[in-house]
Formats: sequence, C-alpha cells, structure tokens
Amino acid sequence: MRIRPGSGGVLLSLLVVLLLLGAINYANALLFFLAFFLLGSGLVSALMAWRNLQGLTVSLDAAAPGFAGERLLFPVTVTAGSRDAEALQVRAGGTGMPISRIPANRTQAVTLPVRAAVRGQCHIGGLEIASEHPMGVLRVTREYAVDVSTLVYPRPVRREVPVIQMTEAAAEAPAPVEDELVGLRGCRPEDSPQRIAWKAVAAGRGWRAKEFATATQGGYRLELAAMPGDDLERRLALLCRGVLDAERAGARWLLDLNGEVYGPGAGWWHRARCLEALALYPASQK
Amino acid sequence: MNFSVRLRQWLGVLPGEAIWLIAALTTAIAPYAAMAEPWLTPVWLALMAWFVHNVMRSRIPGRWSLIPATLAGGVVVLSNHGTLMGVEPGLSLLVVMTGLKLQEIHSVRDRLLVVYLGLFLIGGQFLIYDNVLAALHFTAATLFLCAVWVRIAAAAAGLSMRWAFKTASTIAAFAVPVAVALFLLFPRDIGPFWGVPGSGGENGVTGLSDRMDPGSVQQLAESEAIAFRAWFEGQVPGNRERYWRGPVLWENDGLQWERGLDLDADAVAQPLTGTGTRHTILLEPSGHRWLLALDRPLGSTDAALATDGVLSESEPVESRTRYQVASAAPEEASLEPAGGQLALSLPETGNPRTRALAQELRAAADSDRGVVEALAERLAEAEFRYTLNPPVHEGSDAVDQFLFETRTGFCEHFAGSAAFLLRAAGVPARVVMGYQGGQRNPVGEYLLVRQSDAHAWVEAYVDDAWRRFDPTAVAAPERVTGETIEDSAAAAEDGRGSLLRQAALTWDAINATWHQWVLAYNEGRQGRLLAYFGLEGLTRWHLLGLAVVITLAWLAAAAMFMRRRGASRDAAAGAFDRFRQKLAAVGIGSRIGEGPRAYGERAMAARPDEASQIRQIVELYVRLRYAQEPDPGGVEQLRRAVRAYRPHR
Repeated sequence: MRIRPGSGGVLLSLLVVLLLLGAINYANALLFFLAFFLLGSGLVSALMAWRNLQGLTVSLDAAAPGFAGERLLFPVTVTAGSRDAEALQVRAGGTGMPISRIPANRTQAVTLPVRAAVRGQCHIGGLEIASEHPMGVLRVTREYAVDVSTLVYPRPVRREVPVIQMTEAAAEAPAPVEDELVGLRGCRPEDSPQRIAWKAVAAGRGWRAKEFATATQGGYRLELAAMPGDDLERRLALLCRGVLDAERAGARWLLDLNGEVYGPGAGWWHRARCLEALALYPASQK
Repeated sequence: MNFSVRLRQWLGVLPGEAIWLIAALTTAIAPYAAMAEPWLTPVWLALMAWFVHNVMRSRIPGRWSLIPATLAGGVVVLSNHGTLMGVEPGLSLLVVMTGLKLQEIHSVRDRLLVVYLGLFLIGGQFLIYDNVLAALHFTAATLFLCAVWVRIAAAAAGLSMRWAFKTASTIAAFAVPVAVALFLLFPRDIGPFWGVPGSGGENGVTGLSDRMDPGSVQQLAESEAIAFRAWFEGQVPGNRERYWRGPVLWENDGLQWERGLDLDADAVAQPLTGTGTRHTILLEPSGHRWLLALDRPLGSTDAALATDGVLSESEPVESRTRYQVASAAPEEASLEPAGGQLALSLPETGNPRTRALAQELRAAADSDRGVVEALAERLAEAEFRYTLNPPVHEGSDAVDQFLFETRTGFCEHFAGSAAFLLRAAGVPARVVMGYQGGQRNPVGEYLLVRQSDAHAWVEAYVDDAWRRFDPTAVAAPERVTGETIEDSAAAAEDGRGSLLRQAALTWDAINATWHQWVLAYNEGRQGRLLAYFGLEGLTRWHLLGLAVVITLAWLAAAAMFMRRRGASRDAAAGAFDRFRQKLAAVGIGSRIGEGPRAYGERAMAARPDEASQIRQIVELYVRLRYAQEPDPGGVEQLRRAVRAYRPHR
C-alpha cells in the first residue's frame, strides 16, 4: 500500500497553520477551534482513506483479442472487505475506471478499456486501486500483481484496399463439403437462432455460434512474400485485411508467412489461427 | 415560459458541483456580506452569475478577462475601505478573490482550494462575529463546506450530495473530540506575532474614558452596549453597593478632570486573599489598560493594583477578558495616604462663587467631615435637576454656572463640582470614574452592567481614609436608588412584557455562558483546568505532548471502532471473505454473480490437493448462511477452518 498526500493534503496543512497563527495572534477561541477541527478532520479522513482500501481483493481476466489501435476490454472484479469501499479508481494499462461504492463483502465488476498500441501481446502486469476518499488528504494506492495477456492483431488496412482480389486463387484448394461443421465461434448480431450453439450457452461457455464451412468460391492464397512494399507492418496489415475479407466472403484461403503455412482452410477458427499468426509474427530486425 | 421552469432548466444544465460550491460559499460569507459590507453582496452575486455563465458554456475565462477583473476587485475593496490592511478590508479582499478564483477552476486541487478559501473566510469572520448565533451559523456553514469538499474529493465516482453530507458528518463526529482536546491543551501563552488592529480605544468602541469632560459620560447614557458582567461568590451586593471602580482622576481644570498619574508608578500585583467580596468579571474590550471591579479592589488574579485602587493590565484590553477580584468597602479597604498637594490642587483662577462657598463651609465646620456633611446638606436642599440633556457649561467659571445658575446636569457635573468645592475648602478630594448599578440576570445569576450605567463620583479624605461621596446620589437620589427599576419592577409589568424580558434575560445568560466557557478560555483558565486535574506546572511542551498523545489515542480508538463496526455485520461472511482473500492471493478471485458453491467448485478444480479443506469451508459457510438460527459454534468452527487454510504458492 502506497500512501501520498492527496490533491488537497498540502493545501489543508497550510490552511490549518494559517488559521492557527491567526488564532494565536488574536487569541480567538473560535479560530483555535476551527483550526483544530480541520486538523482533526484531516487526521480522521487520513485514517478513513487508509481503511477504505483495507481488505479489497481484485481479479483481472483476459480481454477478448482485438486489433491494434482498438481498446481491449479487460473485465475486473473488485471485492470489498468487511466494510464498504467508496470512491475507488481502478487503474491498469494506462486507463482507469471509477467505482463509486462496493458494499461490504460484495463484488463489483468494471471493464477497463486498455488501448492496444501495437500488435503482439497486450500484457498487463499490475493493477492498482487508488482512492482519495474521503477528503483528498491522502492518496492511498494498493498494487496487485496480476499477469494477464491478450492477443493484439495487426491493424488491418482500410476496407477499400482489395487485398484478396490481388491474390490468385489457390489451385490446390479443394471444394468444401457444404455445411460442414468446423467449430464454434463467438456470436455476432447477424447470427440466426439456428446457428447459436445452445448446448455451449447452457454449459456456461458464453454465447457461441456454430461455424460452418460454407465456402462456395475458389480459395485465396495470402502470401507475405507477395505483399508489396518494404514495411513489414504494412504488409502484415494488408494480409490481415485479406484474412478478414476472405472469411467474410465465405472463401477458403491459405496464409503463407515466409514458409509458415496456415491452411488452406475456412471459417472462424481458421481466421483466428491466421490472425494469431499475424499477431505473433516476429517483428522485422532492423 | 414561466420563470420557475426556466430556472429548473437552467439549474439542470449546471453540474451539481457548481451549485453546491456556490451555495456553500455563499452560506459561509453571508454574515459578513449581509451585515458588515452591503456593497459586497451585489459584487458577490455578480461573480457567481459570471461563474454560472461560464460553467454553462463549459468555458474558463482567459487571462485577459481575469487580470482586469482581479485589478477591478482590488480597486472596489480599496475604494470602499480606504485601505487593504486590517481585518475587514482583508476579509472583503478575500471574498472578492475567492469569487474570482472560482472562475478559473481547472483541477480537483483548484476546487479544493476554493473550499479552503471558504473555510478561511469563516475563520476570518470569527474575528468579528463570535456570539452564539454566529457560531451556530458558522458550524452549519463549515459542515456544508466539508460535505462539498468530500464530494469534490470523490468527484470521479459521482456520488450524491446526501452521501457526502453523511460522510462529512461521520468525519466531523470523529474530529470534534480531537478538536476539543487540542483546544483545551494547546499552549495559550504564545503570541501575538503581529500587531492586533485596534478594536478599542480611538477606533470607535464607546466606553468609559480616563478623562472627564462635560459630556463624556453623557454620551454613554444612551448606549445599551455591554460593559461587563460580574458573577459573585455568595451574596450579590444590593444596588446601593454596586459601585464599579475604574480610573481615579486627580488633575483638575474646572469641570474637566484627568488621570494625572502614571498607572505603573506604584502598581503592584496583589494576589487574592481570603478576605473581601469575591467576584469574577468578564470585561468587554475597552481599549484601556485599567480594569473595573467592585469598589474597592483588594487584589485580583493577573492584574496590578495601584495605590489609589485602580486595577490595570500591562496591555490595553482588546479582547474579552476575564479576571477574579476581591473587594471591600472603600473605607475598610484603604490604608492609602491623603495624597498631599496633588489632592488639593486647583487652577489658579476661576469659579469665584464656588471658592467663596467653600470658604463659608470651611469656616462653619469644625472638621473635614463637617465640610463634606455641610456640602451634602446644601446639595440636598438646593433643587438640582438630574438630566441627560443639560445646558452647556463652559469657560473658566463652569463650576459656578452649574452650582449657582443652571443647577441642571449629569453625574459628571455633580462629581466634578463637588470635588472642586471640597478641594477649595481644603479637603483632599478626587473623582472616580466607573459604573453604578447593573441588571441582575436571574437566569445566569450574574450582574449585567451596560455602558449606560457609567457614572462618576467623588472620594474625599476624611477621618484618615478615602471615603466615597456620591453627590449625584445626594442631589438626585433616583439615579442611584433606582433599584426599583431592575429588581422589583418585573412583578409590576404586564405578562407579555415580562415574558419578553424573561426571553431577553435567558438569551443574555446563554451568551454569557458562551463567553465565559468558550470565548474567554485563555492561559489562566487553562491553568485552572489543569490544576483541577492535578496537572499544575506543565510547560508548553508537556502540554503539546499531552495533546498529541490524546489525539493519537483517540485516532487508534476510532480505527478500532471502524474495524469492529464492519466486522460485527456478519461474522460468517467476514470469515468467508478472508478465505476468498487467501484464494485471490493465489490467483483465484471470485467472479461477479458467483455463489459460494460455484466459487468453491472452481477453487477445488484449480487446487485438487486442497479440495477437502475448501469443501469443508464452503459447506460450513453455506450452512451458516442459510441457517434459521444463529450458530456461534459454527461461526467459530468456520473461523478456525479459514485460519488453518493456507493455500500453497
């Protein structure tokens, strides 16, 4: 637990000293009392500030993967100790969210929107809860060691760039079997009720939809070597757009990252595997 | 659109914080703005309107409007007060600058600064207003500001004002004992550090002077201001004995009398002894060094006593002062010598008729006592009129004009003329300024003496002692025997009048208690309080140390209280919470909406080798949670199980 003067701590000390000087000089009883009352309030509020963060426990879960430049939503739960915790600020990964109040022994969930700057792993190695409650005299901070990572995919290039049209159809891609169940993926708003995997939902695994390989067109060959330009990140961003578009088009595709070949395949799981490969592809050594 | 709808829309746009800040600050400065400086209210309202205007446009005025506004504020204060020094100009300046600071709020710190300025303004007003009503108002204003303060400190969390008031009240409840301990124990023998601006003396406090001009007492006759209050141990003296001795005047110039002696020349500290009428006086600021006491003081706490029976402090009395005195009747109290030539000197010329009368009385009498008695007889026979509006007596024959022509005057005319005449007849005489009378307050059991009770009388050295001779009482007895007015008149008054009178007396008793026990708490009272607890002779460092120890002990007790209050809510939940904390430390935090059983399942799955312990704890907790009857044994079992559970890392 780290304790520092809060926004008003130093100013309050100055106020008390000034009032006390005035009280002594004018021998004014009420000024004495006011000075001592404010001093007492400062001390009591410092005590309350310290007590406010006693017994708090937190847990941080991984956010769903996202693209660079987006905000990843990390779910945090904070559980109060044996007394109410008030006016908290939960901070991690450069962002903070306020919690107004958690009753004793209750749990409160908040979502921390952490900005993912670059592709790769977004790693959160620590979370802190801070509070200046109740009077801004002290800023009490408690740090919690957490270790949570989430994949950050490359930021895809603009939708208008026709990446898949630039690639030639993969000759060896065999025609898929219609409506072959290839796996489950996260639900999207456009999913019809028939596609929702109700068994998975009932088992508490969240909203899932069945993924069918329904590609009818020929496949695409997404090769890193074939992407134009020198900038590796730009070429990965192009490939990322290609993967997204191919999946949306219901096509089969193959991803070739300088010899590391994924696919050919189709559907949500293939998309996820490809995006992960793009996220974790070693950065260019310069 | 009607006004109230518009107002509501307008208020709806304003963030709550701005409204509460305006309301709390306005409450804090209201007494000063409304009562002392009427120009301040429009200036303040204009500043608040500007603030509201800017907040609604979410705009902060730039330097080019704030600098001119600040200069204009300074000019407004300067033009209204003529100076920037002193308590009231300082307060006015601070009010204007607080209003301006409100305009440029950027951070939480700025908001807190505005709250602190409001609290500082309350402190400043204590220098002007310290009665019970003002104290109540400022208590409310302080709590209001503290609530706004709490709300600002928790700004991001967006908590309600009601919650802020609750929190501020809790803090205040814990802070008041700290404040009381420090108030009682903080060393009071320090300071002042800088000159206290004169609140007495020439600065307009009407009160008794140590110079008697015709008219100097008269102007006090209309003042209902309180001069002092006196509490007696035992019998309260009757109205005829209520002569309150102030300065003694030796130097004469016709009707005018002056002190003519240095207060310090022969003043020595005279401690209280066992004899005499003990009383305690709470004196309002007078701006003079001499004190008042029942005639004639034998000794007192703190003050020095001059040979001619004048009590004095080393500094002018600029704040309410409390002291104890023992007094005895003048002729019993004094072994003072006659005073030699000083007690007989007169101007070379003037007032021939008075001097002739003096010679006549001297010739007829066989002793000094005979002269005084003859003068009293003459005064009683001649038809003198006692009036608050006497004709003007001036020039070198003023005494003659009064004694032989107008025969109309006030106590200062009677006293001045009688002392002149006695000196002319060779009897040592002097004038004593003070008060006569006092209203008895049955609620608080004390005498209330007002400025309108100011009086002057004569002392003459007769039969080897200075004896009081009050010519006013002889010539116009109703002035002094006026006890019918105070002590017995209440019965004669009609019901409504006496009810009002009762209320007024009760109110003054409340104020007197307030003055005596709160405002007049000083070094002396602190010493007596410590002596009562057997703690005499503590140095200021001892006192400070004691204050710090008591404060820390109280805070520790407060921390315990907070802990216990939390824990007593639900012992089982508390134990389970510790269990959860232990698991959270190894990475198994509870999730929202997860019941204890589901949580237990998850924990057992994660830590199969501790499954039996986890199961035991969860089952115990669930049983206790849903049990119909309280089960202290079960709670204890759960506590032990949780204590014993140590998840390996």
